[in-house]
Amino acid sequence: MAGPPLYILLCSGEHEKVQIAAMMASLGAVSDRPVEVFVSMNALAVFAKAVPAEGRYHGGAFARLMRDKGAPDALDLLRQGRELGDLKIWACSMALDLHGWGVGDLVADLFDGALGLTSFLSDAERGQLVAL
Amino acid sequence: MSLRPDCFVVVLLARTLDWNFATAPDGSNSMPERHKIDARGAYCPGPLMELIATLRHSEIGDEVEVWSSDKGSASDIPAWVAKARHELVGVNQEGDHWAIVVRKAR
Repeated sequence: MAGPPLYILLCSGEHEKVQIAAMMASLGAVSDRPVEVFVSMNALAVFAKAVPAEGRYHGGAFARLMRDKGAPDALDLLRQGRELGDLKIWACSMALDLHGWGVGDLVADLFDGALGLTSFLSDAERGQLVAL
Repeated sequence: MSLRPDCFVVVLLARTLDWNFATAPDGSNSMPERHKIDARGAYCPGPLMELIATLRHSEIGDEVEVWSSDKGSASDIPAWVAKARHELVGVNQEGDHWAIVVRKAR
């Protein structure tokens, strides 16, 4: 049943892209695919611990629809994927450095650590890579 | 009323071999349960994730009935069930929602 590993490179902080990344990651993980997500660039700020929940997501018209209709929260989907399947989430070490952050500055219980892009891309050669 | 000899033999065999006619398919002595999830109003992939979480804590043979108003669930859940090698018992549209029943097979 297991498919090839899925590697998601998430760079955009737009709510729509964060949401689809979380959906792909969680659904892949619960479908017996190993999944790894690499969070970098503007996306990293979405996961900052200091950001209040109501200010976490920014996007366009569809982001407003998701908010107004109560679509599942992206961070909750990622937590479910980790609980129910094989899902690892990495913070880009370069993006952390530029922010002056450590993994401890990100929301709790989501990240497996910091990783460099080279390592992530090397691992991704084993499976399917999607970039958002 | 007298007991027929063949019935007597069956009863004797049952007691000797400790047959339990209420034994569940997996050999346990507990009967399968049906768990219900009302996921009406939840959007994709919420109903599927709730189903998976419930199956994770269920016994083999248990059934989970999901009520979902999300149109995609009617196809997404059967697709996942086939991939995960559980049993799809039924998909029925009932008014404003679908009732999808899954039996845990492994």
